[in-house]
Amino acid sequence: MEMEMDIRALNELIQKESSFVDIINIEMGKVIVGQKHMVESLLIGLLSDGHILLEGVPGLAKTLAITSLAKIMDAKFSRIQFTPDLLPADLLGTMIYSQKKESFETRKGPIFANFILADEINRAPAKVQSALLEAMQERQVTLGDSTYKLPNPFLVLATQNPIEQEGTYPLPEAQVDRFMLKVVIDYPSKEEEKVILRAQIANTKPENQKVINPEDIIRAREIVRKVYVDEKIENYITDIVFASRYPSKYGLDKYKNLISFGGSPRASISMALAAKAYAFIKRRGYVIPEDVRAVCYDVMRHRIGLTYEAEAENIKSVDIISEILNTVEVP
Amino acid sequence: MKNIKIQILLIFALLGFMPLFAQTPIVKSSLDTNAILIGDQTVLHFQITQQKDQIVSWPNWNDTITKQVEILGILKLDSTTLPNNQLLIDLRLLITSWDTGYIVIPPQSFRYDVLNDSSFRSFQSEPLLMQVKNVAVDLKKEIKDIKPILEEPWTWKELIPYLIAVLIVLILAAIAFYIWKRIKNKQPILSLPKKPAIPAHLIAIEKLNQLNQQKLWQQGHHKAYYSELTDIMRTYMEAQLRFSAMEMISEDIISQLKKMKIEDTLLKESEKILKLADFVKFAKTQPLGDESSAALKWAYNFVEITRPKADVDVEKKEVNR
Repeated sequence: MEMEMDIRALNELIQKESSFVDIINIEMGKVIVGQKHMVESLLIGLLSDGHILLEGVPGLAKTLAITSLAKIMDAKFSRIQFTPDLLPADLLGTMIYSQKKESFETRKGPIFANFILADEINRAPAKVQSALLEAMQERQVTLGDSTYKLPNPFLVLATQNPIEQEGTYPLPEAQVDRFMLKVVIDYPSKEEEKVILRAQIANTKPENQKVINPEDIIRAREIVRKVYVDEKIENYITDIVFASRYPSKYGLDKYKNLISFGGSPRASISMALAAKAYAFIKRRGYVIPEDVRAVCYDVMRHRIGLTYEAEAENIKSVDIISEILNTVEVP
Repeated sequence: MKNIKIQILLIFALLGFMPLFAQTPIVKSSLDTNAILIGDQTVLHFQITQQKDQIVSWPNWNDTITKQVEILGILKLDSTTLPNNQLLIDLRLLITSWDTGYIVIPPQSFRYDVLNDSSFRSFQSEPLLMQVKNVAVDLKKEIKDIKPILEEPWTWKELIPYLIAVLIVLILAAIAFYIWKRIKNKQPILSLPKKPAIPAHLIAIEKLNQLNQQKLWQQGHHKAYYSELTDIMRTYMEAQLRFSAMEMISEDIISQLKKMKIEDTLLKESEKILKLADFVKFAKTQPLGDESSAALKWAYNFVEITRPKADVDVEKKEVNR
């Protein structure tokens, strides 16, 4: 078999540069039992420079996962608990008057960190959500007259609790679209829970070691960008997104009245980037349909709007995604 | 005592023979019922016993007997010959009354004549008493007909136009439903009978032959060659092995083949070829010539092994002939 030089070289480079993925997995595995999908999604977000919206009931190691990742990478981590009385300044920072210097000083907020855990993002009012999402998009914050770049890498992991919706401010569709992935995590399996139980009873708390630094991630991102996406894969991605917008054109007439809006162009971009990152994690220099399928649910889940009819029939966006994947031809 | 008995018998016998000697006809009148509801009908009977040579004339009733009793019609007028040259005339009149209370049907006078005697003779019936009752009306209840309107039974002559109309409506509804169904399923409204479907393996072999003749990989079009090859095989799997191979990734196809208990060598070969096809299609890989020809051999072999066995037998028989 004779490979074209660029992809073969890329494959070799990925084999060499992606070794940290295993190290991260091992280190994460020391403190987190199970939740492989969440850890994988964190890596995808990290490698493709996207943010993650995490949905799961309390106690599923969401905070532990991101603090561990920060420790492993020797990166700065902030946890912000979103509450109804939170103000944008509590997040971004503000100008404080110094009597000593007789001038205003900048006090940077907790957003100036590599990893941000925005806990229960839907509990804060819209102005705080907007401040965070704008910072996520722009990667910079303006305080007074000065604009400050946010550190690189910058990953926001926002959580939502699916069971208590009273007194919350659900994120508007346009804001949700800014999250590259929406990951839904479930309870660990019985075996995994037994392992967690034993570890807690034994009071053995393994410490994470710093094994990589943020620069390694920045370098890996450069390689991820080079991962080859064939035109056939591009067509496959656009077909999936278009099927969510115009289901009738793909023989999905039954979903015509159940989808109020489909995936935006950001969905196609995110799917391609996430598929590239997934291929990198799998040590490949090119994307195959398996990669697209692996990230499709997390990319599309929050980007398909459902109508009242769909809610009445208890149809979820994942049902529609499954049907789309079963209908769109794989290249 | 014996003498008294003989005397009574003689008296009855004389009474019995009285009509024979009496020349005047006898009339008996009676009613079917002597109590009717207002407007209800009953029958008035007159039975006249006369000599055959007597001519009895009826009273001139027109349509009433009295002001209160109306004659609706003659139900029967009949005569019966009796012994001793006598005749029994039976007359039945249907009567009604629209006045309530006790009504007397007065004695009716009948005239009779005897041959060769022009003198006036007559005889009378007995008066009759009839009670005409009013209908009890409950004013508190709603007004309604005593009896519903009688409906005449339908005849076929009357029914046939309606049946034809219903039949036409049903036919039109069936046509409309058929057209709607065809349009909904995006099918032509009128379609010619389909040709019998060609077996999936024959289509696959035909397409593989065409692919071989195109010599795509020999000309360096590896991607087109492997895309076409995998499409042919996935279409074949979908039709022959009945799973949605066209919408499945290579990994899922292999899992499906494992479930179908495809023989191990073929399964391993399939996995290898599908993986190679993915490399070529998505990673610009340029396989060696041997690999490309091996991929085509695998395709033929896969079809040969998984094709229906019944077809093989039939084809063998055809060859033997």
